[in-house]
Amino acid sequence: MKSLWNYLRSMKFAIILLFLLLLTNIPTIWIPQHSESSDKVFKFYIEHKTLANIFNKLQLFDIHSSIIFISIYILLIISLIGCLIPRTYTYINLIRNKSYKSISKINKNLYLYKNIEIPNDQIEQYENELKLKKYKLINNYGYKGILIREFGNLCFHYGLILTIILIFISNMYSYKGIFTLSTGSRFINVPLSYDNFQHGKLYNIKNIDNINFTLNKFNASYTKKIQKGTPLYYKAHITYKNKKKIITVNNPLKVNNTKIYLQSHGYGIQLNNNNNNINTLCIPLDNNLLSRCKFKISDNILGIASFYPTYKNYESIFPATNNPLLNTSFYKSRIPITNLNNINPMQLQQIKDNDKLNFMLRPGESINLENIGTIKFTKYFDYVSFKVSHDPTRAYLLLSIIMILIGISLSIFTPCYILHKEQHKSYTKYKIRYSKRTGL
Amino acid sequence: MSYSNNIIATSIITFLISAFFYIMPNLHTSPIGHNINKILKCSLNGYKQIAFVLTIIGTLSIIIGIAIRLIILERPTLGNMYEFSISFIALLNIDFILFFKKYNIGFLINILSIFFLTISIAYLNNGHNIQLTPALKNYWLSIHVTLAIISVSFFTIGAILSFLFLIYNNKQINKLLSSIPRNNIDILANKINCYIFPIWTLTIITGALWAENAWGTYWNWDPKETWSFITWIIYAIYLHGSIMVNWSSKRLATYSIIGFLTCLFNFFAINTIFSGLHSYAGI
Repeated sequence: MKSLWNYLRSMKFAIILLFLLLLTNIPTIWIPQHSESSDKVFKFYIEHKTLANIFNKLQLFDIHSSIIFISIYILLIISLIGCLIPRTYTYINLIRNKSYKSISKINKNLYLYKNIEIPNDQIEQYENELKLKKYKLINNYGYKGILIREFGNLCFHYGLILTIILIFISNMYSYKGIFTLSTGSRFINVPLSYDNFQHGKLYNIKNIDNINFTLNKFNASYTKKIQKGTPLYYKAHITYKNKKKIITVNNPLKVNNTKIYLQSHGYGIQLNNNNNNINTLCIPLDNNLLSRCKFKISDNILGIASFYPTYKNYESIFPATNNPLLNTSFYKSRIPITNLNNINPMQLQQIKDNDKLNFMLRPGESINLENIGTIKFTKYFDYVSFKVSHDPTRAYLLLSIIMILIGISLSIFTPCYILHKEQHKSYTKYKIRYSKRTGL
Repeated sequence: MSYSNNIIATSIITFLISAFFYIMPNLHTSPIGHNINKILKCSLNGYKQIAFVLTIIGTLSIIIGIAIRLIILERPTLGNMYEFSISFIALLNIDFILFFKKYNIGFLINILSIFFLTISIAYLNNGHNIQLTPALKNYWLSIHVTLAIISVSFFTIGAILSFLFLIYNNKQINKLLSSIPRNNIDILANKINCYIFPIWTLTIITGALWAENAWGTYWNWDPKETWSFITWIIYAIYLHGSIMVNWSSKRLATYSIIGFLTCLFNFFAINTIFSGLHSYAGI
């Protein structure tokens, strides 16, 4: 049992674990990940069915939350803690007792020590020699150096453990969500407002932050000459607590531990059918925001339309609405339509009007169809997709990051070449610590 | 803009000539080298000095090219693969000129510069990489990418030194290169890799902080992040191997080269083949 524990906390085992961690990451090159894009995983399922099933059983589509990955993680933490606790104990003892003689206990395998006695009249020559070898001569600094270095080491590794624990806690107590908002409408922070809402197991939904704001306006600007259509900026103008604010891509709205990010934007359309308003949000298909819109007119009639912000030859050539056009077609369904995202194409029949299948509409224009009545393309509007992320561990994570950075810097950049220099009457005693390779 | 590209392109020629002068001392005994030597009448050290001056000129021309680009575009020139590549080569050469000129790595640095610059100008510079997307318009861009370039350039030098160390220790090759001095290059490579590890850590951390600021998650395991993490693990293993376990220099040299190769993979393959949140930073 003891030997197992010793093996667990040995450096060799830690290195093996790091290797395994590395190897588990490599398959992500070939195998699509759910975390990255579920569509790609779906595509992989269609292309290689049997292989996908095997991969799914081996949890290769979610490598970073698979049992193998997590167990390596946990073993690494155990190994780390097993290594750190004795070292911390030694370190505290060293500082308390100030018994600098036992300092060689730290890293005892790694460094060689030698005592050299130099007659006082040859000191200068010897020290010059040391300087040539890039040893830094600092009186008694070597002891402090090695202590600072060890402090850095401990600090870095505790920082790593803290980070991993915080990530775990954050997964438990955080929530994330995506919602879309059309211009002019209001967001109220309840789970129902979200299109996609995920929360940690220990998060209490009753405590959800009270956030509500109105999206007044959305501005986007695009380059007009070189690289035509590349976005210059996105600005969502909102009113939050009666104050006007702007959310941009790198500038989320912060409320306590919750941040609201501007994620993407698209166009929505409003149609009018016999004095009934139909609003629908369209899904952008390309960089020039050619968008696909689906809308329900009655229980068994639906419309599918392409919205071109700047129309030219059945294409959108610019993402801003310079020449907006809607190209619609209408379908009759044999069964009542319940969900627009789940339509069976076999049940649809396209509606013809004077042998026309597609109807081009500009804002304000209308058409008359036999069974449907008047359809008027009233207006188009912007909608914005926001991402909400609530993470109570943010401030602590910053602490752990600082620990990691200070720790690693101290442990690598602190000089400690010479351990000790003792002046005696006729000679000076040097105790030198050296490593075969680096002098680090 | 074309001025900037032309100036950078001329540096390729400078580096080519420089590389030629760096290997002249090695060709010295061969008939071709002998003939050239008759014309130029240079000492062995003289060739090296000429090559070094040419390297400095090449580097300066890249720096001027970047400066012109910076002035015209009025934004940090770190936004896409082309800009990353040329900045990386500029910094690699600056590192060499300032810190490592006494080591025999000039030739390899020149070859690497030629390789990177040719690829950048031929494939990465398509004239459409001028405008940055809104997500990149942030002070984090300068911090994160500069740190990345610094660490990758030093890792490259570490890998070059390790590569030379492996060659020198190969008995068969060693006979051919017996004239080359080898001033403890394994120790130097080790020092570089150890000192740069904190900077690479900082690169990853700033990346995570930026990601949180722009996308709302610190870490999403997108391909770029995964490969940065892999590189980090390799250098972490390297660090433990060198400081804690006293691995042999040969083994460490191999790891240093593997680490550098993961950096290359991260740059070329991930940016071009695999899409992810970082993909817009591509060509």
